[in-house]
Amino acid sequence: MLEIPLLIIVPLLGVFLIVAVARKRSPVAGIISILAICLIIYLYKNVLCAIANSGSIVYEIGGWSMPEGINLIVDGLAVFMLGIVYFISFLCLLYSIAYMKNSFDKWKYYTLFLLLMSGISGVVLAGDIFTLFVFLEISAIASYALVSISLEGGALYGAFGYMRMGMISSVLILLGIAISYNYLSTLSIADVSLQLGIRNQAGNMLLNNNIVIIFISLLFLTGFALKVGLVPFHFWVVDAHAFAPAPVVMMLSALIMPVLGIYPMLRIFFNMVGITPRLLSLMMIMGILSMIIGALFSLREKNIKRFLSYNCISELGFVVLGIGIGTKLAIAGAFLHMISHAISSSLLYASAGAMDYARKHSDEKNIDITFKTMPLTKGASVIGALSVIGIPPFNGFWSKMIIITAAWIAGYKGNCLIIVIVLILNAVSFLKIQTAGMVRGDKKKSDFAALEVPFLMRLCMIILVCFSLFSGILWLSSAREAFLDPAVKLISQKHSYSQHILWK
Amino acid sequence: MIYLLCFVLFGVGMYGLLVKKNIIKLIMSMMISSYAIHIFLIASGFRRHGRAPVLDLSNNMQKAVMVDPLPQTLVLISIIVGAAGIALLCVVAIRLYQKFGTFDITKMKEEIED
Repeated sequence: MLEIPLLIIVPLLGVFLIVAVARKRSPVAGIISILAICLIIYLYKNVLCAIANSGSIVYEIGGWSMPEGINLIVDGLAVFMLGIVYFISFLCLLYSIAYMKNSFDKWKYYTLFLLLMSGISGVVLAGDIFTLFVFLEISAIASYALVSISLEGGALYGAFGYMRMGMISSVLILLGIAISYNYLSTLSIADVSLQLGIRNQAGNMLLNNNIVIIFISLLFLTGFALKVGLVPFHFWVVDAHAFAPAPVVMMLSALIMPVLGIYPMLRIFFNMVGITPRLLSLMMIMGILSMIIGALFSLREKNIKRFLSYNCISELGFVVLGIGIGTKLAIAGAFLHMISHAISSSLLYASAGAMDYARKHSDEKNIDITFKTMPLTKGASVIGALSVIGIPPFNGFWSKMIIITAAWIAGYKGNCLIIVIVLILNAVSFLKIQTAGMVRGDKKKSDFAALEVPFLMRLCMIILVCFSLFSGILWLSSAREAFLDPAVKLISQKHSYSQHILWK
Repeated sequence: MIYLLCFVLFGVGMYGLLVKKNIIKLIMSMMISSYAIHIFLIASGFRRHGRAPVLDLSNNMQKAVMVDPLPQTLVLISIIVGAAGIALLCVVAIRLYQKFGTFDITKMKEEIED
């Protein structure tokens, strides 16, 4: 199965090509990166076909077999995450080709973008925690550089705050890895789970009360919560989002924060150390706090990017809450919400970026560019907002309804109330932002009919709107069995992962 | 003993990361805390009277007291990754100094919010 390492290698190859070829001729950079992403999507399709038959595939790098060597593992969860990653990053690339057209050194942007892609693929595919850590750092460094790419004061400041928190989180994760290696003498995720199972059965320790395991879990939880920006650690999110260019922010909120934070959390807690009720309730509390505080802080923001970043914290809180409830239905809801968050937040940031773009590129300076002159951008922004609030035909409704239902069934009735209150707060704040955008312009529409953004940006928004309308279909039976169920099954059955991987 | 040193170093680094305002001091505390973990990893691979981890098939007796080689490779990789991060941090610090004329984070924040 040569396609699996190629998913990491192809974007790296693109990086080398761009640095070698496109430094002087910058239009080539965009073409190379589009080609690289198309090739990756083709490879991903092959992997998807192969995984449908066998359930999980292990690729052994250099022929070293499972617990000793470095392995790349594809299974239901990895395929699910990679699907979101490639879909959103393809759209981001389309968007950024139009958005970055006039910035002077585009090749740097595309280099970092492809490096980020490679890192994210590596994080999802990694079979042991140290490989996961290395790819985590690669993608994190690429994203630090992407956030600061405009070199304005605010962007640099935001990037520095992001780096500070990112460095703390990677130090904590590395400490967790070091302690778990010291304790169990193995790094492979499946093998750690197996060793813990053996020790648990031998009866010389109780897994739930073992102080080392609790310490490791807390280190990992803190490290990855810093990467997601859950509430006690959310300070970097807003500054990093506020000044970065729109496609970067799309990537940051839709992909980088969930994939670098929530995905390793799932892998490590559910497949490696084993989840305990205490950890679950800790995650639930974090999720609820980020939902409430994100929604409350977004009420008083006037800048649209800052507003959306608080909203993003609140949305990711929903995902973590769904995971924290811990039943099968709730985890499925959390996965569905990860998709719908990716779609709706990139839609919102795309429309905000389109407004920025139109402001920057209009000839007259003091013109009042509002949603009125840009019907499509307005539509996209409204649909994104409706999806976040949870109005029925859009994707946000389905995922939130499933999480609420799961919370109700699991007996957390207070949580349902909190979710509804948060949704109402979201509705209020979005209403405020949207009306501020709409009411101000009272000039005639014909005066600036030509102000709509370039075709590629519009195309990207149209595709996102379509998916926002129809991604509720994912909950229908056939699509769910193909895409969502393997991932949920992998998480909810405790030892199936290690048994699957180790005895192949 | 050496574990204690690691945790003291780690604590110093974390304290600096969370409390200090000067960018250069922040970068230094990041380095200190990551070095603490490197020392911890190396120490965890230590075996008393161990020898270099080179597999010598002619003399099987010595295999038992080899030093664990895996943490050493982990530390090497982690140093490389850390160096990349620190280099990027220094670049950003230089750019920030050029923009704002100060290394103090709180002053920068005030200037941005104005």
